[in-house]
Amino acid sequence: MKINGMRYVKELSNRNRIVSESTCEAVYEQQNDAYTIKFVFNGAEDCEINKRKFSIYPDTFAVVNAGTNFCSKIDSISPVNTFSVSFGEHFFTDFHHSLSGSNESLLDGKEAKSRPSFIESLYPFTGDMRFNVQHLKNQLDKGLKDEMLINEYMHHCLLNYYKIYDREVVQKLDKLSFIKTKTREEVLKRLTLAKEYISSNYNQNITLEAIAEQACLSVNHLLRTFKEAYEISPYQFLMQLRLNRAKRLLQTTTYSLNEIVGLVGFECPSSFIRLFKNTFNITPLKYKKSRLN
Amino acid sequence: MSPSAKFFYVQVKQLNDAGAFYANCLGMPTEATTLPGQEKGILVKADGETNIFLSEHRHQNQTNKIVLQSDDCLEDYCRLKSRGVVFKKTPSYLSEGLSAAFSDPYGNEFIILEQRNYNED
Repeated sequence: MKINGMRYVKELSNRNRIVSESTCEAVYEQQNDAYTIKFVFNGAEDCEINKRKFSIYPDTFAVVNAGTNFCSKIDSISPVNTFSVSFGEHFFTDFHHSLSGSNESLLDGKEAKSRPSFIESLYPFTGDMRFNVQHLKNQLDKGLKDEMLINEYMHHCLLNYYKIYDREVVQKLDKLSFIKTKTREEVLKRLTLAKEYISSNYNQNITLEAIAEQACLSVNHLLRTFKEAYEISPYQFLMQLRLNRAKRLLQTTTYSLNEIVGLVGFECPSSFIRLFKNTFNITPLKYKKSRLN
Repeated sequence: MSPSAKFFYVQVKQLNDAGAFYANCLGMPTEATTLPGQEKGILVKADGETNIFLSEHRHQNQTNKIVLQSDDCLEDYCRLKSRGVVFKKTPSYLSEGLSAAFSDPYGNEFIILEQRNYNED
């Protein structure tokens, strides 16, 4: 293990655990016996789970089930700020059972299992999850010690995740037109691989064939089922990612427009500017200026 | 004081006990004040924008429901809970953000609201 930069580990009496680190270079091989959610606040963290490689960017987070080991690597010129939240077994099972007992059907038939198994992949880091985790991080950065408050944030983090899981997995399963539940689950798992691959390689020149190969689907099958589940094509999904990540770079870095165009995988600045304006109703430079003010 | 400060009259049964609850339990700055008609009252600075006149009498523009703006609802919720405030509604999500609710001993309702802009990136 190699570390440079800032790191703190907060371990609570109920075995909830938070690790925050800002570093340019690190390699971890982690025995993971707890449900863990991994966030990145700037830069990217490369992960490997079950022989699958993907990258966590600030607009996504990764979920790792209890018992799944993972490797991660950071290699960057500017520091990458990672933030990882692990839930103690009792804390997690108490939460899971309290939700199983409620009428909210966020669990997709997971009620009976004491240790649910989530799709270990990338999920969008937006909305309440982002607000709550940002608050938790700000408080811990300032030295928060109050375990009751940290646990409250972590409780809400799980609550937010279950809602995201419902939206990203349970509701998407319903949109797939296969009759058998098992087929729908298998296809959604493969579509998740497709999304994960696009998200991790968004700035490369990726082809539909490569995405389909990663997802173990034929190109036609991928196109049809992707659209069915997510209502956009893989290409549209890629463009949205590139534009949103470009927007973030415009907002948070001093890179020139041409540099950003290259960083997010566009070949030609003029098509980037046109797409950006069509999507956000503002040109990239005007957007950057508005953010500076 | 903020130019957008809001003032409310809130009726309480007993001024001294109420002052103690607002200062000690809720941790809000309070000061004795004189209300129109030489009536004794307490000014409570509830948040940066909300000022409350506690009074034992009825006032025309009186309210029993006050929304307090919060930067971090969970933090305020835990802080107040640890001071013994009993919440009627634990933090829950609304379309405009995260909110929790409690009452003072006289039945006046307080809503803590952390407004969240879900459209901003």
